[in-house]
Amino acid sequence: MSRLDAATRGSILAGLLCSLVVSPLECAERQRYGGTLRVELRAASVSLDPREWRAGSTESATDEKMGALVFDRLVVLDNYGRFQPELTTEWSHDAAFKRWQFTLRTGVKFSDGAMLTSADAVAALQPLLPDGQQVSASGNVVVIQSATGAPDLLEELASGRFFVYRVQPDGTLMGTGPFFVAEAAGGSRAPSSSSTAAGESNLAGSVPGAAKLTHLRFRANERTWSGRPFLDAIEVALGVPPLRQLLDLQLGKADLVEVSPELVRRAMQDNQRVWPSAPVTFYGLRFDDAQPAAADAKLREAISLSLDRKTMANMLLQKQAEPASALLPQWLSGYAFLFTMETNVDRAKEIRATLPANTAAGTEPLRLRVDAQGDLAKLLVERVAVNARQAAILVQVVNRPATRNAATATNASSNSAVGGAHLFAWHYSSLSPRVEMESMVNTLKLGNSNAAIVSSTDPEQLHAYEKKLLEDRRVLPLVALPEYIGLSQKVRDWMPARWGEWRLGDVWLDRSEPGATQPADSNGAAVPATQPGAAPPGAKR
Amino acid sequence: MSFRTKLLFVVLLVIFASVSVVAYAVTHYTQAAFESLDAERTGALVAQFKKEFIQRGAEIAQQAKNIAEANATERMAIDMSRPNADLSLYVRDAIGSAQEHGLDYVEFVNHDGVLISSAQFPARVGYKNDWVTSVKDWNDAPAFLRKEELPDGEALSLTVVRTNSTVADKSLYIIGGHRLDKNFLASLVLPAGMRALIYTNLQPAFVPAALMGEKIDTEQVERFAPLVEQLQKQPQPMVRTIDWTRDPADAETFHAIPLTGRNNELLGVFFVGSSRKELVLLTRQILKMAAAVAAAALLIGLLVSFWVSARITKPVEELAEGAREVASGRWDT
Repeated sequence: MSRLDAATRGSILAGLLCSLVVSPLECAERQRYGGTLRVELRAASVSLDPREWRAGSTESATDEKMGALVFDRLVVLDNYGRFQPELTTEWSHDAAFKRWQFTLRTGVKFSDGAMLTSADAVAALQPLLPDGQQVSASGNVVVIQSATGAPDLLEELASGRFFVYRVQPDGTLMGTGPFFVAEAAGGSRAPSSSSTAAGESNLAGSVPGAAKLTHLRFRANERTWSGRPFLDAIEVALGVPPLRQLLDLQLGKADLVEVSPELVRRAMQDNQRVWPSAPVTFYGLRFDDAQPAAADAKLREAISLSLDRKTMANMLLQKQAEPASALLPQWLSGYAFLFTMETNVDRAKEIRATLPANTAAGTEPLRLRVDAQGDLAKLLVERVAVNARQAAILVQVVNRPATRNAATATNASSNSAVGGAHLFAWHYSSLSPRVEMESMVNTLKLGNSNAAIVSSTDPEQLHAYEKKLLEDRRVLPLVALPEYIGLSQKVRDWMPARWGEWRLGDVWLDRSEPGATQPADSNGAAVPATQPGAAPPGAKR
Repeated sequence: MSFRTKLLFVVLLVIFASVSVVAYAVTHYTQAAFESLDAERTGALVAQFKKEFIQRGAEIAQQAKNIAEANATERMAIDMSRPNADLSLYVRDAIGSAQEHGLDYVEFVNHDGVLISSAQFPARVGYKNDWVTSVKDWNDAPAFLRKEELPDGEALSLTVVRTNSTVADKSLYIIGGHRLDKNFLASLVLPAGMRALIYTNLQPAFVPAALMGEKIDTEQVERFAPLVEQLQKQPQPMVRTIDWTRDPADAETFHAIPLTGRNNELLGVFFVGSSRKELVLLTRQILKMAAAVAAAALLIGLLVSFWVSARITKPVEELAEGAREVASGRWDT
């Protein structure tokens, strides 16, 4: 018995030792190279030219995600809020934050093998930077000079459209990113992109400049400075309706899809992996003077008091959105919690009663135009009309023809003078609250932006500025929505940024047989049943 | 006037009077028969409408009952009976139920009257529907007309309410409905020369766009305004003839049947139109034939009376001539 006990004890000890030593080696997640990630997107077309992207446009958010596959930035922000070098190795600035210097990483090549130079970075960034910021090259150093101090320049460069690219003589763009465009179909404006802009044989992988693309296939860039991505290719299908995307995910026909808020619960009930970002899309109302009723501050106050944002977020959007009381979200500004939006229908009625019946949305309804696209915008605008009606304010919803560009929509709305109020969607694209606020104010024409205040990065001053805007009630926040991404069980190392950046360069596909893997954890980690594939030359470091 | 002429006139007068009486009698009895036939056809169409109304209501009631008895609805009723129930879980259920059961309108209303889910107007969720909770037992109530609020306006709905009483004292209400519109009219079989129209009386004033039906142009619509306005004042069945042009053959007789809601409020008007063209053309044909017959009879009468009078008066005239000659001394006449 004592010998048996000793043997048992020995076995247990051996087992423990094995589990302690072997498990981390054998059972750790091992990335595998290869495979094609199938992505489905709602957008009917994308543009891969950062110069075309408009701040705040929901369509440009998709463009930016696709752009991040082929282009790199000077710096990026990691998930811990630290700036990490990308195309630059170090940076410095003067005391007044007026002069920033970025030393370019050496040995970085475009997908056609040409070396990245500081002149390329200057040529790429100059059209993207706002007026007042000049970019120049000095040897291997890129210098950005601002007329006023820009303490948030790193945040600005780490987000939005600030990618580095090279414009080819034929107008196409070249990137240094982890992927290059192998096939690009569609397009309506660039003659070179009417069908296939860059075929398989063209390893240059140039990106059609000003084209709207309807189908994309990216291939891994073997020459990228950051090491070959794990995926061989990314196949992007555009213009896929939300329900079809979810079905394709369920049927294993897609690996990464956009899940619309109304389908999130259904996806979760079906045990699909759904990843939510921080709230990145803002829905609000803005008023202009196109209709006299909209210019009435009292009426705007009554409408604001009638709006039931909690019901919008919690009931209509099934708790997949947050009621918005500020223009910038908490994760971006840090002070959004200081704002509150009161709902008081009785008070709204009282205010409405003090207004002349024939002028303020009484006999002639206030025209509310839907500038944003999609069913969600329609649902919200209908709710606004119902809320307003409770306060005896007549609102007539005016649908507008679909246009792709938010900035165009804004201009069109002011010219056509159709609506006194507009429901708009705004996608946060910058990590700098100042830049975001400035873009919002300028694009949506929210008032006379006081440059001295908007250019400040001081949270107190930004808060004061936003407070003033909200008190004027020319813009009323409604809800803020996260982005929801559905992922197949095969997708591994999905580690996107909270603000919606996908980072597909780190993603790999578990292509082992179904049932041969352990259940995935929340991050998709699983133990591959087969040995990892051999890393190709230029593999990730 | 000579006797011969007098006799001629008498004969002609008799002929003319006879033809006129016959023509009038034929026209009158034809018109009466036509009116009777028209009334029968209108009655049949109204009966068909009512039957269709009841049948459609029964179908909606069955579908609403099916929804009320579905497992998903039972789960919803149990969930909703809990304190701090999460209404957002079911906010899209009505859309699925409407598609599944072929209804235009489906709404789920909580025991406290709060709208949980709406297929036709999802933006209204969270608001109270007190009219539903005011009735204790809906399960035997027939279909009724209701003004349905929609995002782009209002519509007339044939509505049924059923309840799920899985949880005692906390019934879940299911409102199902079909839109009463052109499609409903399309299900009616209309005889030639007749048409059916529906006016949805959802605004205080006459709204031309609210008159629905086949073969109706914008110019004609305005002519219904006085009828509708009269019905708005007095919702009673009425019959009116509208002369579309100066030609009486283009006139149309409309039977207006008011459609009322649960509180006897006028929600719509069902118009059955019957063209008078057939009758007018028939009457014209009769009159034409009567005229032709009268003309022919007069001509024949003229000739016959001329011949008859000649036959009667000739011996008398010869006798008178003989008498005159004897009087003048000619005894050899």
